[in-house]
Amino acid sequence: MKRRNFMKTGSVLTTGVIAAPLWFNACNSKNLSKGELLMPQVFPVSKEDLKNLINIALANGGDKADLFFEFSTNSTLQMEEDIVKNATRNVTLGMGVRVVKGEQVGYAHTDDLSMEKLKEAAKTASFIATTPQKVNVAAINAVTKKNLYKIDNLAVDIDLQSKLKIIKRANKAAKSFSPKVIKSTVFYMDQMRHLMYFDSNGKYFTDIQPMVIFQTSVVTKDGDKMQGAGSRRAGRMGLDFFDIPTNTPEYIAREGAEIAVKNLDAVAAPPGPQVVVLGPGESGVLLHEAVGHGLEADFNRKDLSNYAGKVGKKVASEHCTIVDAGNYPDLRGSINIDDEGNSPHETVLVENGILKGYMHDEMSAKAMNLPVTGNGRKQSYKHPAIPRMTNTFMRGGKYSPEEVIGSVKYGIYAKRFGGGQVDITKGDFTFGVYEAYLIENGKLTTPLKDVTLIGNGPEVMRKVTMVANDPTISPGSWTCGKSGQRVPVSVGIPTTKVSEITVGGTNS
Amino acid sequence: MELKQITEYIIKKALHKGADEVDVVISSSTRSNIDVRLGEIEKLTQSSPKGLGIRVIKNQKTAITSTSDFRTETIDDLINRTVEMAGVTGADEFAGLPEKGNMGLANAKLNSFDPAIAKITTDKKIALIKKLEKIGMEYDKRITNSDGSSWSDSVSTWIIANSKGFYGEQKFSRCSLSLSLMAEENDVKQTDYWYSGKRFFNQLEDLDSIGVTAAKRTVRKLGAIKPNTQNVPVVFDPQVGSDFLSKIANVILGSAIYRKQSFLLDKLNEQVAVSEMNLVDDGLMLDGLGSRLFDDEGLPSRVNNVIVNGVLKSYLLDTYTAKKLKMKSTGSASRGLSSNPSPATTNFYMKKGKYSPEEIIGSVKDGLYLTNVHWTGVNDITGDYSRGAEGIWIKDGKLTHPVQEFTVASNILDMMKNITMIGNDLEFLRGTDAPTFKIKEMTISGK
Repeated sequence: MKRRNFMKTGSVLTTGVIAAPLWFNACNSKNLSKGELLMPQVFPVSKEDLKNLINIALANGGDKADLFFEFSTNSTLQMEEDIVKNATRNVTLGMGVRVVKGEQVGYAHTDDLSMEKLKEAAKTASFIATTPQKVNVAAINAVTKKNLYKIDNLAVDIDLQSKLKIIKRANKAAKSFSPKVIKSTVFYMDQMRHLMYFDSNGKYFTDIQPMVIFQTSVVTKDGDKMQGAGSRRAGRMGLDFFDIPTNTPEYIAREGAEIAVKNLDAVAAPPGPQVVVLGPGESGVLLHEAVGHGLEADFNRKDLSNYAGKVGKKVASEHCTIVDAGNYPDLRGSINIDDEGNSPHETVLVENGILKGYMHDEMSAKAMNLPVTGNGRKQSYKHPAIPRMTNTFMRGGKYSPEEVIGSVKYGIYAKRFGGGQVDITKGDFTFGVYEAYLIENGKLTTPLKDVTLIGNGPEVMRKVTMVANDPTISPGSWTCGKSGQRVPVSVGIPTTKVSEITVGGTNS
Repeated sequence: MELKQITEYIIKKALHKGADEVDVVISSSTRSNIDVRLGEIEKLTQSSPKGLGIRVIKNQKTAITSTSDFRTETIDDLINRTVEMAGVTGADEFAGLPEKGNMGLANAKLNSFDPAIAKITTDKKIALIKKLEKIGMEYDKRITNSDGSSWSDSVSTWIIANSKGFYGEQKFSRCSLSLSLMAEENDVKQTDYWYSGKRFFNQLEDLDSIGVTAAKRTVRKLGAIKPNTQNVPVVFDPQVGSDFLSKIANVILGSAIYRKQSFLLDKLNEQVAVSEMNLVDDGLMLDGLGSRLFDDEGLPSRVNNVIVNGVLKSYLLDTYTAKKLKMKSTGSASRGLSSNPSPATTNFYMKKGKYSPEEIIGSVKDGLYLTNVHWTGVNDITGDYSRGAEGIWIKDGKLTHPVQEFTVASNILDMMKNITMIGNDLEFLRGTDAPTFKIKEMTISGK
């Protein structure tokens, strides 16, 4: 993050990225793939230390205290104008301590893991509570977790030359796609997070979370007209990510270049309410904004969501069954275990249009007297866990995609999205489309310029009239921001027809 | 080691290991954040993060690493890694530190650090935000819920040092109060917020003003309807005006220009806006949230006139983009611990005009007063602008009913040439600021 931003926002810190301390350099992360009790090599604290810290955190009372240790490595490479202009390698190391009392949270974190600083942080977090009590820390009990991502071949361990080859392949493919491509940029990032958690109930887990992100973008020119577009991919994998046929550097690069070339001929979208067919995969952004955020339980516990108190009621058309499932292998939003030590599973949010439930962290589950759903997540050790989505998508329907598109006389086909945002309280959401086409007499015709769509979540969901049998999860590098915290997620949807969404065009 | 000694140690050692040029940035801060909701503390956070970044240039190749572990053995290891990594990147003829003669500190008084902030007790902060929330909640009985009242502060030291002998150190402080409320009427809920953020505690807006503004902004949304699709004049309030300027700011940066990702590409010295429009980036503004004595490469901060009487006079450049474009740096370099410098704005604003906001609204027979926009919705290359929007409808020069769930669209190049009235109500609240202004016509897409 740029310094300017951190000064503006005030609550965000820049020092998230730091180098590997020496005691870590000795251990290759491959050796840690068995996980669990080898973690003390990464985090120099004993079981006794963990218990001591919890004792300090709960010295003034409280229902629960937890400790979250994190050690992450990020490395990036960027190629621009055929030059790898920069390489970075950054490591985050730190511990966050939380004390929970009712619906109140005391939180402190430190990037210095000396016992003195850890104790100081625990003491700072303890001030949320004011009634000293005797603390009984339960014995350490390692919870079982899923095994959704391979960690025997982490990208972070691979030599730079292998990564450079991948970047060069993409750069070459983008430039050779068309003579109209005048600029090409390729960005590569890999990440590896080691996590260790312990709380006053004795719950203990460790996890190693890999991630690869790859992004290409091009600028195209034809006469006086210029355009730009790109393509992004991410997954919890190693470099084997690029062996998947739709993830090869060439495939990703050509995909972005193709959009940028097509968009040179794009015309302004018609304004006003239109029939919109959402393409499979990326259009899941709509579910994320229109439904997902409103069903995160913290907003419902506080009665701030427009979905508050509506469990059992109809909130979407009968074609809609929407789930959040963090338990799929390799996806960007997947987690072996959430950041409070609860197992992710498939949570049905909406079934045949009826609201079934919310996504919970421990605090909201307790306050609403409901089971946890494995959605307690945090950006890093610097933040407390809150309810967050993982992979949120809609189940397939009965129509073929061709039938759905074929049923539209005049409308818009929205294929690729930059992202979106939502006002959780009223439910109005906005999302940005950067690849779209006019549908005329059941056929895709003219490409349309970037356009913003707006609607009210429940209203739009009630207008879903056809859902195709092609459920798809987008492989894009989606990052969701909420309460100043960013977490990786996935979105997905089958080809879906909405009878009316307001389209922010200009062609009047 | 003291922070200055650390920079000297790193520079000396990296040069010894074979670096041609080195610079070091250090950030060290203390932060606190408190959230209160419905009279109870919801979250209390404290931390003292620090970090340093090392940039090495060798044979015109660049690498960067960063750490929060300031122990000598860690730093030694990091220096080795950085020099090694600079071996595998590509040579770029324009990479490198600024010329020695260009570096230095600006001679200006900025008021960037308030020693009083560190002395404010947690109890006082809690009392302030509890009172703020109470003021907002009690303003109107239709306000039924709160999304919280918050305090945050930070005190930080920022250091840049390089192998050409530059050393700059500046202290910054920042504090802010914010309140987010919910109102309800006829089963429809609405939220909005207000805040004040300043470098000095005694410059914060008073509690009554923040609380009442948050309440008014929330309540005025009740009863919102969706407007018809049509083309009308649009009045931008200062908050949406600030957002509009930030979109222009994105494309006047040297990085956007050499990447050809700018609708202002190749338009230097052209009339790109109405002659009443003047845009300035002032790195030396007294009390400015973006003010600083030196940029993030060690060049003195300065005032840059970007658009003068509607003519694009300057891009904002750091050393690299200036060399690429065969121009001179404008002292606009900005960087994080682990990123290359690149240009950014400091205090970016539109100069005020002669009309009061009331006169501007009063001039509109049938149109929109735009108060909120959503999603980024701007194509930097073409200037196409399409945003989710909220506002208040203007009828015969008067604000009438709230409107929501629609978009406003145009193209920024057209918008800049169709600004017909600029307000006299410029205030420096956000670091990017505009007065109220009117655009002759935009497309509203609603019913």
